[in-house]
Amino acid sequence: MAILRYLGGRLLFLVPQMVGIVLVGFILIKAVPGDPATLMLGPMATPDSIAKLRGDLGLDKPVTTQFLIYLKKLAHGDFGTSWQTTQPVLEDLKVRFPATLELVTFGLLLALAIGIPLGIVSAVRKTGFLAKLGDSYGLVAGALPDFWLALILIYVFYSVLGWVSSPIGRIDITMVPPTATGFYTLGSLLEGNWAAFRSSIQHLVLPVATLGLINAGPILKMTQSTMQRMLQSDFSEYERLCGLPERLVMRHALRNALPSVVTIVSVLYGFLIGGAVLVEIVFSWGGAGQYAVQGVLNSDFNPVLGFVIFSALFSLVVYFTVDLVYLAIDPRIRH
Amino acid sequence: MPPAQASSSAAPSPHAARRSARARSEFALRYFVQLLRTHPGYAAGYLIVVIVSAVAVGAPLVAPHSPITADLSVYLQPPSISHPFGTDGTGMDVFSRVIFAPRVDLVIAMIGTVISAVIGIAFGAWGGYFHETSGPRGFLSNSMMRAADVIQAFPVFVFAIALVAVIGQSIASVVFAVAFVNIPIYLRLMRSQALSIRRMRYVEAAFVSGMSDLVIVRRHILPNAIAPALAHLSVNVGWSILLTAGLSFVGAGVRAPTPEWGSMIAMGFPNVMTGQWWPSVFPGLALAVTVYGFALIGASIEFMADPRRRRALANAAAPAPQAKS
Repeated sequence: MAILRYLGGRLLFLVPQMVGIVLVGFILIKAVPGDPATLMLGPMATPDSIAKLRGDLGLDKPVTTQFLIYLKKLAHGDFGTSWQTTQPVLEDLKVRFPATLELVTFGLLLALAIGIPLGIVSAVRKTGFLAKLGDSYGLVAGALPDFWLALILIYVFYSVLGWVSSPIGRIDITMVPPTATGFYTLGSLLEGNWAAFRSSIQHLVLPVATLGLINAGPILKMTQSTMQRMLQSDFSEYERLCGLPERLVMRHALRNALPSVVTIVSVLYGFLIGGAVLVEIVFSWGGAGQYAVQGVLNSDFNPVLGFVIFSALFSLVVYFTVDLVYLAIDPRIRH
Repeated sequence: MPPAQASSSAAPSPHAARRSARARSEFALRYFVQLLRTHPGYAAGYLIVVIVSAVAVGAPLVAPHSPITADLSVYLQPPSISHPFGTDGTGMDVFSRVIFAPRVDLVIAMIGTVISAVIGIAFGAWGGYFHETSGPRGFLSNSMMRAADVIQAFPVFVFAIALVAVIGQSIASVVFAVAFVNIPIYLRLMRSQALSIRRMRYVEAAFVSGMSDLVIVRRHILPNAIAPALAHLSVNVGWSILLTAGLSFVGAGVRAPTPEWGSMIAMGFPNVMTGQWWPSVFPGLALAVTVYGFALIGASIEFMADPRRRRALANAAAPAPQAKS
């Protein structure tokens, strides 16, 4: 019961934070110079039609009232309309958010596949190539601009070697994208469409490699430092003294290092929804981050606010899930 | 005792105090040299930053061509003797532009970082000192942290672009955006330190002896809590360079033809697809090496902040004839 109360308390705490996020986003948008009604109707509009649209949009009311109207619409799932795509923002995000999520999820899985084993090895070995690699990997990966690494990968694997198809979008433009789930890989598998599956994997490889290689850095560093601490701790010493095989000592140390790895993964997951935007742009991925950036650059602000709310919500869901995961992997928290 | 008080408190004689201060700085220097000697990687970090800064200052002397003059007769030339890094799609010399770029990137990142550090450190110390006190100051302190929560809940990059859009695209607004998104980091670092320091005996003593809150924050909290925030500066500069370049890459930061690494990479993007790698690869390489240099300096500071590793190194650095009784 104590657990439920704790989680409930956390959920309650999130409400004011969400309102704060919407408020800051709203203020930012209101601070942008330029009248949205004029922008929407273009330079040929008559003053009458502009005034009418201003009235329809509620722009003639005080800002506080406008904010309340916006909140009310949000509560009904109305994020406004994007004038670039002329579609409701919610409909746009329904397509684009899964695109980002697919990219980020696979990128993070690759980062885990690189970071955890390397982190463990470099925690155990003090000398040798792998230890050196583990020590410097984090610093190097943190210094590489992701959009530049993406370009290098495109140059090597597309322009020179020709191993992947043209690095634009999520699937060949001639193909009909699978509709099941928002993930093209999963969707095409479910529909049994092998050609679409192959094409979507081909398009995923480079952006996922970019994100995976760079984000393996923090995961590696966290795994390494926690593993080192665990292997030097009293319980590991005791196990060694009792004569347990080193493999078992390692396994127990890893088990105890897991919570901090889960933490860094959750932080990265939330961060990457917005942080992968440069990679999305390089590969014309059509994801949510790219949608938001194009919105800012073209004074189309409903998508921006919609994206910010979506990604904040997503981060909250991730953190909430992670709390549950802690409960599952660390019995001490349950007490 | 807080370091700020060391000189004014009852030292035996000013002469002795000065001598010990000199001995201490001499020891610090020897210790620093020892650190660089045992860890050549850190030395490389300092070297990179010094070289990049020197090149930025002396760019007009080093660069063989003008960084902003397009010569269409030599567009997209591969690297050669007259153009060591080749030329880009408009015929500008990539090498000269790479050389001039840190003037923009480094200056934006450094000013932005320093502004955010000054604001974050001041408000963080103040907020930590008044945390959970009753009255308007406690309330302000808490609201400040909630505001930082909200700012950090925004996706950094989109938030920075939106800030630039709000205040209009210019170098000054990029500086503003970089500074703004970094403030919460210093706010938090400083506040958590201040929270523990305000419970110290010497702070209580200062309070009892009638010092005003402002003086306590300035004389006791600030100097004792500032180390982690200062240690973060170097890493943060590197990170801000990446942010500046990223903003310029999407066209929301510094605009071409101003030489800037991010916008150069963006300009060379179409050429990379068709096989001309040099307009994008060289600026990216310069960018990565610079950020790496700042990261190495950050790592060396982290090393020095770890008392166990520092002691091990200090023992090696101490002069040999230290009689152990």
